[in-house]
Amino acid sequence: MDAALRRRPWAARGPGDPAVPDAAEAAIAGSARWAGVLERLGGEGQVVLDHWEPARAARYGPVPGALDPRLVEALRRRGITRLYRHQSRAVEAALLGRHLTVVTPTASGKTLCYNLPVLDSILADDASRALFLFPTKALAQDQLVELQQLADAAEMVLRTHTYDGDTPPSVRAALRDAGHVILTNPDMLHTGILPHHTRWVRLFEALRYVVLDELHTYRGVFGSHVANVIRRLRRICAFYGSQPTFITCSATIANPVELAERLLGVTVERIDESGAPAPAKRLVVWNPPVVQAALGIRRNAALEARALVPALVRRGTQTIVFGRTRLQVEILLNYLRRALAEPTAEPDGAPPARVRAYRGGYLPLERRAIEAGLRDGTVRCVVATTALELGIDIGQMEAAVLVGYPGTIASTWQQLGRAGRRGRPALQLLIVGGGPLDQYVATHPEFLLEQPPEQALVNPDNLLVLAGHVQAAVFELPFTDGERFGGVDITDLLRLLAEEGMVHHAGGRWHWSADAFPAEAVGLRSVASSNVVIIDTSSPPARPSGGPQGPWAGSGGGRPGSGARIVGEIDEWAAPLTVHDDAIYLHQGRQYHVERLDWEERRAYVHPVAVDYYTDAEVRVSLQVLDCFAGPEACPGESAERAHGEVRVSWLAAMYRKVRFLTHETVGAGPIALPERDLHTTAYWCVFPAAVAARAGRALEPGLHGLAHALEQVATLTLMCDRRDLGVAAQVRAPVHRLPAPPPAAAAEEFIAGGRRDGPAPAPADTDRGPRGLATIFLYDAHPGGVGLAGRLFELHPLLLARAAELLRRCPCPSGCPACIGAVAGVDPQVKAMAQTLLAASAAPVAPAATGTALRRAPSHEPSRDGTAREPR
Amino acid sequence: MIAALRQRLRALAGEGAGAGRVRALGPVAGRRPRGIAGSFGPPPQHGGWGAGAGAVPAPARGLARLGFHLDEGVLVRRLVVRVGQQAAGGLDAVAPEVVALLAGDLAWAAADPAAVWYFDTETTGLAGGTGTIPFLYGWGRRIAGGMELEQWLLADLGAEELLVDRALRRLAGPGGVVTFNGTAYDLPLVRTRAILARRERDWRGPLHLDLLPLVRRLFGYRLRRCTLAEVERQLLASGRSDDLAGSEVPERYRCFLRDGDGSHLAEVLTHNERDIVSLGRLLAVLGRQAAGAVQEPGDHLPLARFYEARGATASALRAYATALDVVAPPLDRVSARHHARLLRREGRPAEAAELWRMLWERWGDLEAAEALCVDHEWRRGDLEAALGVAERALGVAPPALADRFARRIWRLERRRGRGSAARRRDAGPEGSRAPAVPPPWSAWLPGGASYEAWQAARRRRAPATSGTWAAPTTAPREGDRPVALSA
Repeated sequence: MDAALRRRPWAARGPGDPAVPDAAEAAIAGSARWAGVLERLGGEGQVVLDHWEPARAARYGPVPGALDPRLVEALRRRGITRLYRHQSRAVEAALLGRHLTVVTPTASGKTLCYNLPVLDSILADDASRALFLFPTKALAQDQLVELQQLADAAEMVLRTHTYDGDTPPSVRAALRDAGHVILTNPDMLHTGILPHHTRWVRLFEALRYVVLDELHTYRGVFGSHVANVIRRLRRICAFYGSQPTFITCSATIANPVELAERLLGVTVERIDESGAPAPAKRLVVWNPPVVQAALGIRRNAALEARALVPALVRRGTQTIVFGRTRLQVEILLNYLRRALAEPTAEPDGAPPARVRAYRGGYLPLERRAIEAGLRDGTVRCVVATTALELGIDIGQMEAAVLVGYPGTIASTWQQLGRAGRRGRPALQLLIVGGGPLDQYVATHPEFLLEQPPEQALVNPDNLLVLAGHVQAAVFELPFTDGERFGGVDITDLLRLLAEEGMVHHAGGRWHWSADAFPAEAVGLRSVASSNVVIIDTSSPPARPSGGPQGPWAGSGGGRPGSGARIVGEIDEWAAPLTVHDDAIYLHQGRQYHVERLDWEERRAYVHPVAVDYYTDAEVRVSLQVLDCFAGPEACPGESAERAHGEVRVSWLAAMYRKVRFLTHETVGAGPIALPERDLHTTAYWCVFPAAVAARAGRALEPGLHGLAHALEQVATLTLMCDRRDLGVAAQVRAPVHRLPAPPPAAAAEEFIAGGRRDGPAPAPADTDRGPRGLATIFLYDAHPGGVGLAGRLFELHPLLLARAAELLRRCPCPSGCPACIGAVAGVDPQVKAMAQTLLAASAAPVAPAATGTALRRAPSHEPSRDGTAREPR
Repeated sequence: MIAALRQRLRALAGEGAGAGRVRALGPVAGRRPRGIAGSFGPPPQHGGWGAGAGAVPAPARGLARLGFHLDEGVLVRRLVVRVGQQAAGGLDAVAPEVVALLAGDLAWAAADPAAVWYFDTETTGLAGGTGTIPFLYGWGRRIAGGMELEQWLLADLGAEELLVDRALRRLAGPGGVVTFNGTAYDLPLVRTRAILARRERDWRGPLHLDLLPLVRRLFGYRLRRCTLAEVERQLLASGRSDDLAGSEVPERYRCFLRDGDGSHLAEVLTHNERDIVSLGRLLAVLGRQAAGAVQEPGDHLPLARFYEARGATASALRAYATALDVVAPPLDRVSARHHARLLRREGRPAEAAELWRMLWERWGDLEAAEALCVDHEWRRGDLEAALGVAERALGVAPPALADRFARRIWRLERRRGRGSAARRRDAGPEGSRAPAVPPPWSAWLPGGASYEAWQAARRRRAPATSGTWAAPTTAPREGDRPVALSA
């Protein structure tokens, strides 16, 4: 055990953690239990890591004496006479009004940590109120049931409901006036509650607890927005005279307390010593066998799962399988059902299948049914995307199988953590894929155990984010002179707003005076919310007639085809890849042929079919520079140039392939005729001198990608944002460097038109020293219009390069690993060295001789040799 | 970064109505925003503001020219508007009982007519929420030959308390308040201001009559939009072409805040005056309508429904009866339906049955068919007639409703067959396939002779005609090659 913990120093461990006496026994029993499955299937060297995590016995604490006897009785009725140690500590601290963050594994009873103090406060005072924030509506629904059950057991009247876009108006009014506990999400708090706080007087004047579950999801720019929403919330609470206690729960991340404190602006108490028992767990990393020795091609991970998982299910093991994509999940479902001799598609009205899929895009009722099936054990195996990573209550599985490395340590442990039913040894199986990143994990499995999980970073003081929320805050309540917002002095910002006519200063206070609703102009999340609805046209539409409305409305009227059945929905970014014309849409094993995708109406019309192939679409991502705000220029003493400008990132679903199940052979292809999706945003880019690139040779491309990953990592750390907030593109021959300075608009048109330009015709094969373009790494804001990240990166360019060099130097791996150079780890042993060479060469001034040869052909675009900044237009 | 921020702020400002015009009106940068409250000094102590006009700074003089004076610390403007007593658009008195009928609240019958205020606010924005501030409170009340108006102006965003206090006092008065969309807009705004000024936490609001839902209810069918402007054009026969658009109001106030020039507000004041006078005239129109003097034949139906909703059943029945004769199709059918439903609810089944019969025979109305079946079966005890109607209805019913009639026929047949030989006669020719005589327990055991079994037998008997209500089956499509799914 100690060895295991030494290798995972971040793992939660109490000071007096007792050694579990039966750990060895459990391990033996467990190995017997799982031996048959793996050993029977294991060829040579498939098991590349076999690691036992011993069982951990439950450690209990007392039920806090201050807790209302009715709740103690309710717990007893549910068979709980004592609490786990972390629950006991959390409840005790919360009852005393201390802010806290609970960081314990999945299914360790975190919910009780906040439900008990909240119900206690309501029992003590009927006027007391609580606000629960969940990142998704589904989680709020889930917790509503849980909370209501506990309240019922305590025989108390609890007025509670979810408050989101789906809440009916009548419930909303009742909830505002009398709701004890409001379960909502940050977005609704931001636009629906805070700007209308005078309608929520009863909530805000007696708000005792604010609960934020799944805290780790509030990271990056989204987290920065949420932090500002919390600042506004605390400001409103102060106006009404309440001082809520914050209770937060987080999955295992590197810095939960820091995250909580930055998000909430208060000091929090950390409770991370889980008292929940955990069974012995066997972690196996499985590398599929080589099927083509000459090329070193390994068997597909999905096919490998098809061989392994049914063996588990047949032995009665309830298993959760995580796929990487929605398509992979559906394919895995198909394979597993075939292997278990179950119908691949459920006929209508049939009893629920034992093997089911779970992913985004299923209808809520369908999801609820699967969750319930998992809890009561009728569903024996579920194939899921990260949709099941969040704390949706499905009970604990006996085995978790990850098909492909999820890409981050935190996500890996979150998914593996779904396995671990009490009293039974659990199996955690990672089947790695064939890609270089996955193969790196296979060759260095200790990476999983040693690498700490990723950090969750937020920067609430990002100026653009802050400005949006300051406006919303002025709208909600006037600022008095000298008032700070979350500790930030915002006088200058208010003055700027006044100059723009948004606020008005009078009587020592700043009042909102514009005719606008500022909260609506600030979206917390960058993802578009509009969905494409998938409609099955084979069910008969209602006969249209001019009948009247009322209880007889069914006799006619309504939209044409209103009787058609909605199969599911899909977000508008994935729709072009999934429900384009002639696609095969897979839904819970059923196959539908897409007749037509009505892009304007956001509807896809499908009918059921049975075919032996699926479709897989390819997306082409391209990045074009539209405008250059600053640069390209070299910082003093450096040869790499930096630039800041506006770019267009486009996604085009260009074509699709028909792929036969099992054999994965391509049996057909077709074009996709859909408009391009664009993201106009700001970017920072770093251009490497031609001389450096010339020396690199073949290793340039992977080296550039490796360096791009390193830069991305130091960029997220420096800006305190998240990986999903920054996009990265590395181009070996980016034409940006030759961007003629004025006029930018003309340049943009040229690039949009596909690079048609007069001037020297570039030689296509002239890779080394051609004038065609230079090796460039782009980092762009992944939010439409940008949130100022790129501008900061431009300013921090020298620091960024220095930190990237340090990251590579400090990383102990000899030739590159996912932690430093990312997905290209394992592509080439020279990758890390190449990335370091690029950096070293960039940091030094260009040697005149080297520059001369490379740039003689394009003298007009020669980078400044003396290192001074070039005039930006 | 600041440039990006500024750009973004401009984009946001552009979303507000008419915001683009602000900057055209005057330079912003460099001019310090200033309030003008300070220039009044501490008003309540000094009293008579008009007396010391010479000492008043320029912006305040602008307001004085508009007719404002300080009254207990609030800038007030009073005026009287003469309105004629013509039939359309006049300002007739409405009897308290009629107002009570319109409001659906008997308290109005006892309200002091002299203390009934017509109330409308002008605000800094149209978005609602806590950042939307009412800066002009407009009040009006009927006097002989016209209306007496009062407008209270918030000259400085920082000095709202006195205004809010005064508004709360007036709203707590003995009369009531008449608004247009006040339920959703004006009164919640006042409530919000009261809370923000820490005056009222549980404000219950005044006795209130909102005319918007009444307009929707009584005239909505013939108005394109239920805005006050549209109401004036269509119902009060008076347009206002020269008036300021409501969406421009916030911008005018911002200009006033910026340079303190009262002249920006002149049109806003006129706009508000007209709104309030229109409120009075609209109430008169609604009162005439509620008293039964309808403007157009089509109005009878919504009026009847309004009476019904208010519980004035006798008036409702009269109005429905009139509506059936004068209302144009297709609303005559709707009218007859509501009429029949009301008669049924009122326990007058014979009259209702007549209407149902007409509905069924003239329009093939399925609700009427079902009601007729019930009437035949239970009131008259004529099972055959009920079956006849049900069979015919089944023939025309869409799939969603067919099942209701199929079940009814099934039940009627069983009920008819229980005392006669009809069941045997029915089963006769099919005897070889369907059980000729049901087992003895089927008569009493629930589900013994199931509806599904009956339906199957019926389908066998008449496969051709039952297509409309048979359960839909999914036919396999051509071109979809079925594949063996076991690998």
